[in-house]
Amino acid sequence: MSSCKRFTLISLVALVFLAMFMLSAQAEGLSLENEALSVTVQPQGLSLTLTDKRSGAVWSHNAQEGLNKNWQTFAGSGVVINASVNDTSVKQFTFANEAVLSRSGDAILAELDFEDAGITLMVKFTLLDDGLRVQVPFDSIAETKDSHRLHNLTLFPFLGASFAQQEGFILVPDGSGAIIDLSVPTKARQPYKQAVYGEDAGFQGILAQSNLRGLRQPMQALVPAYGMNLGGQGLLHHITGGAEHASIQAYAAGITTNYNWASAVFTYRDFYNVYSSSIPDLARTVRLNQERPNAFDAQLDIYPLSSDQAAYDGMARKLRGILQQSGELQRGHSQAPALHASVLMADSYKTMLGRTLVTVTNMEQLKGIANGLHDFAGSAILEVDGFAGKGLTLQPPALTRPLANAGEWQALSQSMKDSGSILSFKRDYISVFKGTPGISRRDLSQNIASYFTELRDERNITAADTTAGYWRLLRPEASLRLAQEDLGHLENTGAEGLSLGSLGSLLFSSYGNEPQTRAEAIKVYRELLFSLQARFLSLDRPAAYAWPYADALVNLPLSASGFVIETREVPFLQLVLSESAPLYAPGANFQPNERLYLLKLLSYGMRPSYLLTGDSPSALSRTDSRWLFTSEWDVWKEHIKSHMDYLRPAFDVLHGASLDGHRMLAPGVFESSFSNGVRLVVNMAGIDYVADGLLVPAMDYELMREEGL
Amino acid sequence: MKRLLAILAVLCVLSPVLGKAESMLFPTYAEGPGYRDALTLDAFLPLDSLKTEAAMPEDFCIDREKGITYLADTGQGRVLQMGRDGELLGVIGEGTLQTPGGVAFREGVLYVADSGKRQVFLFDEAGGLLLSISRPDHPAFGRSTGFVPRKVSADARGNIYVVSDNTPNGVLQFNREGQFSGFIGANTAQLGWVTILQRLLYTDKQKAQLLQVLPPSPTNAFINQEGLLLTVTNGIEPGVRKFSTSGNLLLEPDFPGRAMLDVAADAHGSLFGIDALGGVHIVDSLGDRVFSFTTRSEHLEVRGATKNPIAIDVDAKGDIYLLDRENASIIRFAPTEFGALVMRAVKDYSEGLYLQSEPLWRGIESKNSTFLLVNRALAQAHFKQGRYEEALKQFRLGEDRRGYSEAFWYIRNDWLQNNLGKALVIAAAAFIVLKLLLKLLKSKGLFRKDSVQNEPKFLQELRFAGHYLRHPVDGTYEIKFNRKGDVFGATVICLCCLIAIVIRKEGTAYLFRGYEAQAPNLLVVLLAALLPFALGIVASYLVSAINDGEASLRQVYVVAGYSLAPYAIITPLLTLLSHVLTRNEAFIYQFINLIAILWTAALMLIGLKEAYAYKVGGLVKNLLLTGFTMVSAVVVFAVVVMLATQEGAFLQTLWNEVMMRVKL
Repeated sequence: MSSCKRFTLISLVALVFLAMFMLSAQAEGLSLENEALSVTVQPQGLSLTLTDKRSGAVWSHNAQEGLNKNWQTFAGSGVVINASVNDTSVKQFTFANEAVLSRSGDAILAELDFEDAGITLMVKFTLLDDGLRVQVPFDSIAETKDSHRLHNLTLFPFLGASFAQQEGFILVPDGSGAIIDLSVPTKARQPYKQAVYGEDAGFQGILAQSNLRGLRQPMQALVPAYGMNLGGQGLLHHITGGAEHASIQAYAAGITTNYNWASAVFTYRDFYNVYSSSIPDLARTVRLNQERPNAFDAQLDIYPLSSDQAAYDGMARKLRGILQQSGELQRGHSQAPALHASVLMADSYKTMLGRTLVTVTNMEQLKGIANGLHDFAGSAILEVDGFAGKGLTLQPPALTRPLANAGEWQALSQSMKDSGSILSFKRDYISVFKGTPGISRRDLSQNIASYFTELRDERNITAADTTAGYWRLLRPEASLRLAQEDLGHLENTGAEGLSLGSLGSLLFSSYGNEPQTRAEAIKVYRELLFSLQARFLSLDRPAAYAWPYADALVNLPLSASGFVIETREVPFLQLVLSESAPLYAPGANFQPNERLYLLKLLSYGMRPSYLLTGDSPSALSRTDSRWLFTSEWDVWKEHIKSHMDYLRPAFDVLHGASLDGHRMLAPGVFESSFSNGVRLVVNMAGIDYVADGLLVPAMDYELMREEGL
Repeated sequence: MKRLLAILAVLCVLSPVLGKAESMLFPTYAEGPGYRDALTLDAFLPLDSLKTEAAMPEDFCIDREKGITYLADTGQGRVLQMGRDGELLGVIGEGTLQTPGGVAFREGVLYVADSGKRQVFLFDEAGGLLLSISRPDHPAFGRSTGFVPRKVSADARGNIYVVSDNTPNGVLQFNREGQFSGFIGANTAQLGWVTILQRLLYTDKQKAQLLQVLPPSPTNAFINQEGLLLTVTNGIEPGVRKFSTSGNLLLEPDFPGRAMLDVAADAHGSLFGIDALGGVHIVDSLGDRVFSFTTRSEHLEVRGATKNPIAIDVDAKGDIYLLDRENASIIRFAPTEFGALVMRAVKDYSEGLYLQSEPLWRGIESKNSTFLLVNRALAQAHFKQGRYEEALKQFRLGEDRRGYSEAFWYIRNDWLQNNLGKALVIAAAAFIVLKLLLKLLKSKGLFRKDSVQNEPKFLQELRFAGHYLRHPVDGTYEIKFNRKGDVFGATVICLCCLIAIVIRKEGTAYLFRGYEAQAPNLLVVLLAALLPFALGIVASYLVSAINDGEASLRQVYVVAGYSLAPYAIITPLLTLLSHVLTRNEAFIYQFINLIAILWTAALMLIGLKEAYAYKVGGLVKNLLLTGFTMVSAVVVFAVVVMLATQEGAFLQTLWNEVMMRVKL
């Protein structure tokens, strides 16, 4: 062998070794580290190992036991996508290749190529103080095949997954919050799956179907977070980017696989159905794929938690802190009236000769209610509805033709202010009944199938007339314009408060000439809310994006939806929110178990609500408010008085304190702890309970104060 | 009030739902205004769900004394005996049973209907076989009647009731020794219009060729605490019927729909039924519906949801149990505070304890003031205490017209007793004043012939209308030849008639009008009156034009217009009268209404006959042809509208298809 050849051979061997060295360096992955956490990202399948240096807990997602090969790949894959194939079907693609890892400043960048799908994307890992941020920038997503388009994306679906029955739980944000106990076999066949901030009415058309005796809509996921607890260690997931296009799913062992796992799914495109004709014989259902993708940066913040923080109330406290730090939640609140009362003044019905107004509360009665509430509760938020035009149903969003003059409103408002209460006008700038005056067709939102977006009022689902009970949704810009027009009118009334219906609880995309995604709608709504901030704003069951602007949160869920997979409901939402604003429960009028309602209020750190009218609601039987079956002040004042008498001992002690902790002592017995050190034990079971030597009778509560309080 | 509070307190502690704090996605309905289902507070909430080892179970029953559940494990040929918490206590009939589809438990005996073995088996609580019943050989059973027992029930004396396939004679009744004693609870044959016409028009030979119309066979049965038979027949309405021990139909409880599957009764006679759509309906012992809620959910897996509910039972506490065949699970629903309160009040009310149950109903009213049952019960309580004004108001809210009428009778009676003298004096005074006024006007020469001729045209037309009412033949003659009664006058009367229709629609008293959820559209009401009238005139005229009729279109219109005068005059008076009559005097209302219609029709017929100068036969021919022409015109118009709509929809569909293709 000549020296030349030998040199070439040596060089080749050296190159091979160099390449192997580089590859081995690559295969080891890249790490990030701070005082609290250590994160290692491996290129193979983009697997992630998250170590909590404070507790020593290690979180990963390489599940193997009891899984077939497909599921093993799924579990090990850091990113799983679903892509539409030729706009007809959806196929799942797991990532089993090697990602190309690199560093960019303090971040790790991972480039993923889903070769079969022809989709590439980049995942960015950044360390927060005590958490990990995983992001998929929208700009990094590229679709190289004409046949495949990105449908949805899941980040680290099996991170924190556990095998079979183990001590721990999955926390889901269903309504007030619910936990899936992992230590007992589930009876469920279906996973938990809910869209964050509710389903998109703009995409689905009429959400509440007009079927007779249909189901009520399940509760919404108002908070874009979920948690997992395993053997005392916890993992809180907070969706901080693309929440409005995300859904949260949770599986208990026994459903599909023998693993417990939860993840966030980000949807970029979805399918929808259109009908080619209104005539059934001619109609053909065509399934179309969403043309324009939802543009957002998917972002998930993951926080390892331990000890007390890993319990559901600890997770709530952690989330509260994060939101307060980022300005998404107020710190403390100034006013906390003892109850919230919504008073319906009038509605109307159609007669042969026009609409007839039915006034169920006149100004005198309203003043009587205000005085009565003051006597019973001290302070209250008195929300008036149906006070203009032809009453509730066709009340224009901009305040015109009120049922009382400005002077009367001003006098009432002033007297309420003097007594520490708040007069608040109920307005809805988002949904209006069909035929509401002052609304043009251009103001109406269109759904993706180019029909006006409508919602069925499920309280009237047995209504004989098919046109009654439909709301039409307004384009966000129209909502903004109407709110600003309304401000001047409201100024004349002297009312301190403004109660907004639908805003914060209804989020939908708009189509037509100027399409708008849910993310774009949120921007407009936040602008709207900002413009109204000078007033005491009460929001009706708002989602997280509206929380920074709320002075009071009303009609907050007192329960979860009751999915079979859920073991029990918990006050996760209340724990997150109680420091930022007073929380009011749904109306007591609609509670079949009154004592249970009062006990849950106390346990969840909430206050009661009522829907009232001066006269009997039976007068409304021909109006669209016929669903109201009990509200007469003369009847309800006795209930309110007895409720307040029952709640007062607790309210007097808890005044101004926020809910800080919650735990179950025994089935049906719960202990709530408050920021002023007071503990409250609520016994919702059928038998007495002794807590720390103190007898808590069945269906009753007891306060436990620390010394010195 | 104290009683109510005490009951509430007890319910509060005892109700097991309270400890679970479930929410339910299935709303509860009760009958509200207009007998329409209206939302109410949740009356029952799901408490727990028991997953069983059974395969495709088809029936179950509860031993109410011991709380033991017997589940027909149809797919595995056995009956499972389970404790209160679902623990398996024993297996009965393994090896003996084949496909047990119906079970009942009474007085320590378990009754099992086995369609596979075509036998009914009786077991003791320990599973020992006591008796088996095969196909009866009794002549009354019929030679060709099959015996395929599907369901079974029994009374306290041990009489056995068996539901067998294709037995239109009803439920088979056996004594405690298993001897066939006859049929009971047959349905009646359902006759459609076609069948009725066939029976009327066909010859005997043709009738013989028709398939025999048989009543549908009962599909389920239950014996209540009183030993009365409740039959369930899937596919007909009413689906549940209650029979006496001698087989007389006592009640058709208000179970909605045609898909009832099973029924059970509690110790107080309240009935609990389930339909194939998962609807649970609760009816009181008088047959009035109390609550309805659905449980079936195709997509959402929520607590209390069923996939394929098939049987229902109720325990001694009033908890409801549903059997879901697909999931092989039994779901328990417990009453809420509200539900328990209503069920207790319903029991008292059904026993006629109106006054005693008043505090309970007051409590319920505070939770739902639009509940029909509440308003009826409170109305009865007011009525019993002579508080007729309150009773009247509450009867109206309760949509109880009979009660309303009775209360109104008492109120009217009181008024008459107190004011009759005054009213008679006022009427007499008014009569005298009127007489004097007329005399005065006559003395001033207002009604003299020369002054009549100088009257304004409107008054002349009015006077002629009065004349026409009494003398239609002369009146028509004068219209034709003396140019009396012109288009203006006829149009005014037509307008008055329209106004009378509107007044009647809007102003008739509650007792004489139906409930309308939505006010009728004024335009629709007017067009519904005007279009047939106008079409009839034109059609009649056109028919007469080719049948030697001698009237012009103007004359036909004027005659028809003036003929409406009785209706225009009487209807507003009738509307007023409706406000002082009760149901007992409804015949007066109907009689006057009939007079208005007959008078108008008589004027119209006489007027047209005279106007066309027809004889009776000619008029009949004209009327028949007019009717035919009107129907033809309506049909042609409907066809044109339908075609135009279809054409429009087709073009719209075409456009949509093109746009979809572009998107695809």
